[in-house]
Amino acid sequence: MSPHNVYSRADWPQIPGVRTRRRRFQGDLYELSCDVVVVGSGAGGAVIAAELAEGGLDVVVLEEGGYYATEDFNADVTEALANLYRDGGAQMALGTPPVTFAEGRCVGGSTVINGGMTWRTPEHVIRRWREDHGVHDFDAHALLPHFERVEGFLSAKTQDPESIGRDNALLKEGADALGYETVSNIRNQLHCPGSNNCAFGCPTGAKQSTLLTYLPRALHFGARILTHCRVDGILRQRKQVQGVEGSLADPSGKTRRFRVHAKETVIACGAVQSPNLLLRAGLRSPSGKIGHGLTLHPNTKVVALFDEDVEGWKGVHQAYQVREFEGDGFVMAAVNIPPSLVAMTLPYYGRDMIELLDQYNQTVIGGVLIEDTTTGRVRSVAGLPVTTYQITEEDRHRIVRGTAILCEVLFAAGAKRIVLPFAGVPDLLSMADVQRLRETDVPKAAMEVVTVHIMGTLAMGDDPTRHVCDSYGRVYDYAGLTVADASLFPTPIGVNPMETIMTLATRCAIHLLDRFAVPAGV
Amino acid sequence: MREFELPARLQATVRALVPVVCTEEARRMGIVDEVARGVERFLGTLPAHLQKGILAGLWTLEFTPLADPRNLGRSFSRLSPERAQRAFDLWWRLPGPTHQLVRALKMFVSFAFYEHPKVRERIGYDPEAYLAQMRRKRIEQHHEVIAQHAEKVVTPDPVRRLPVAEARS
Repeated sequence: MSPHNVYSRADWPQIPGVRTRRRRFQGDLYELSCDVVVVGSGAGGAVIAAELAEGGLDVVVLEEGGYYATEDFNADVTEALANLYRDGGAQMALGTPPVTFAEGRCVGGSTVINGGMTWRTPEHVIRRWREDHGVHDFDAHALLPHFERVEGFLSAKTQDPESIGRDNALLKEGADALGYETVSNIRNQLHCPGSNNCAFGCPTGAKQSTLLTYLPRALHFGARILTHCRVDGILRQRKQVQGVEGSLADPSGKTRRFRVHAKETVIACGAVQSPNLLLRAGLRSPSGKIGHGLTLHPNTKVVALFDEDVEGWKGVHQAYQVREFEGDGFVMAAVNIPPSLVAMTLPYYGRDMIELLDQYNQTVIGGVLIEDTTTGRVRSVAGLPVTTYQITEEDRHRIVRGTAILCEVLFAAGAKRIVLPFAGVPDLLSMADVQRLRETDVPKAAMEVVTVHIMGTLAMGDDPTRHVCDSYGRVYDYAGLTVADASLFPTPIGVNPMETIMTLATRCAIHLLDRFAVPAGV
Repeated sequence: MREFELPARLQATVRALVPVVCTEEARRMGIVDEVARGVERFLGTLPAHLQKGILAGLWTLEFTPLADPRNLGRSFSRLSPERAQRAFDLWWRLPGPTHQLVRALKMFVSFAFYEHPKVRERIGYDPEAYLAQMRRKRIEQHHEVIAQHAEKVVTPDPVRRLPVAEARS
C-alpha cells in the first residue's frame, strides 16, 4: 500500500485540488496547481522536493514509474526489470560499440536500483567546474555543509565488516598483493547485511535510497507524489515556464491527460529524459547545447573463475574500489550480478555456457569504470530520445588497459580463468596471458560496454553561450525553469555520481527558496 | 507487469531454441516450455520498438532454414535437434547482422533459463532464502538504530533557515 500523499493513476479525480475537465473527443483532462512541480523522484528530484517542501512550498512530484516498497523487492530479475527500470534496462547509446545503459523508472528513480556508492565530488572535479566552467560558489568549503547534510540523511558510511563477501575480499587480496591502493566504499546504507540485491531494489531496507529518506521527508512536509505520470510537454508563455503536461499511463488503454500549473518547474528525470523533454517542448538555449555533452563512464566486466567457493551473491555489492589508477582515469570493483545476467553477456552458449555457469559460485565478477574523454549527444526524434556516443581511441586504450590490470588483480588473488568482455579475444588462463591482452589490438566493435552513469546534457556554468543552465540549475533564457539532476554536470566526475547530484539539488533548492522568499515586485 | 505473448509459431521457434542455447539439459529438466514463457516475460519488459525488432528476427530465424534444401522444407521450429543446432552454429559464426541476431536471441533464452528456479537450484544459487535470512538478521540486531534513522529523516532541521515559511508567516 502506498503511503499517505502518494497517488497512483486511479486516484487522480480524488487528489485534493484536482479539477477535472470533461472533453468529448480527447478524454478527461486533469488540472492541478502548486508552487513547484518536480518531474522525477530520483537523486535530484527527491532531494529538491524535500528541501522545498521543508521550506514551506507546495510541491508536487511527478514520477513516470510506479510505487514499490521494500517488501516488494526480491530476487526475481525479470520482475525488477519490468517494474523498476526504463525499457527493461535495455536502453542503448548508439555508436561503435553501442553502450547499453540503465535508468530507474519508479518512485525513487535510479537510487532504488543503483549500487549505493556515496562519494563526494572529487576535489579536482570541483576545481575544474569552478575554473573551467565558472560555476559560482563552488569550492570544498562552500559544498561541505551540503555534503554533510546529504550524507546524514543517507547514512553514508563504510560497510559493517561481517557484510563483506568473499568476492570483494578476493579483489582486495589481489590488489594488496600487487601493492595497489584500495578504498572501502562509502555507501548509503544502514547496517546493510550484504544481500547483494541492490540493483533490483533493496529487500532489507538497508540501502537508504530516496524511497526511504528524501521522499518520506518530502511527504512529511506536505509534498505530493503522483505516479505513472509521463510528462511530455512544458507549459509556457513565451519565456515564462508555467508547469508541465503529460499523460497517465493507463493499463486500460484509455488516454487521460493532465496539466500541473506551477510557479516553478523543476526537471529531474535524468540526463537522457531531461534534455529530451526540453527539446520536444521546443525550448532553445542561447548556447545551442541542449542534449550536448553526454558522458557516461563506460564500464566493462570480466568473469573470473576460482577454485574455491566464492558465492559472490552473499555479501555486499562493491565493498571496495581499487583507486590506484584513478589518476589514469579508471577505478575497479567486484560487482556480483545474478547468473541470468552473467549468462546474457557471456560470449558462449550451449555446453560452454553451461559448464562455465555450473561454476557460478566460484566466480568473481570484476568491473572497470572509465572516466571518459569524449561526449555524446541526446536528440529528440518523434518525442523519443535518441542517444549517440562514440568511444575515443584514448578511451579504447583505457578500457583495454583497465581490463588488463583488473585481470592481473584477479590472477594475483588466485583466479584460474578469466572471460573477457571482448568478442574474439580468448579467455585468459594465467598472469602471462595478461601481457597478450595488453598487446592485442581490441577493436571497439568487439567491446561489450555498459553503464549506469549518464551525465551532462544540460551543463551548468556561467556562460550562456556555452552552458544551458546557470550555477544553480536555472535554464538560461527562461524564467521558472530549473534542472536538478546529472544533466547539470559540465564534465564526467570519475566516481559514482549520486551524492554529487544530491548536493547540486540541495544547492538548487536553497537558491530557489531564497527567490521564493523575495516578495513579488522586489 | 505487461503480458506479452508471441504468435504461436514463434513460441515454437523459441521452444526449439531453448535446447540449442541451453543444451539438452533443459529438456532433461523438463523446463523447455517454462523457459520459453520466461523469454516472453522478459520481452514484455522491453519497449515496443525492440519487441518488433525481435519478432522480425525470430521470423527470420524461423523461415530461413526453408532456403536450405538439406532441411527438406522444414522451418527452424520443425528441424531435428541436430539440424537446429547446426543452423544456429552457422549463424553464430557468420559476421554481421546474422551473428547479432542469434546473439540477441541467445541473450534472451539464456537469461530466462538461469531465472528458472530449478536451474538456480542446480547451480547452488538460492537468493530468496538468503534474502529472508538477511532481512530478519538486520531487524533483530539493529531495530533501534533503524527506528532512530527513520525518525531523523522526517525531523525538521532546527537551525535551517526557512525563508518561505518566514516570509509567509
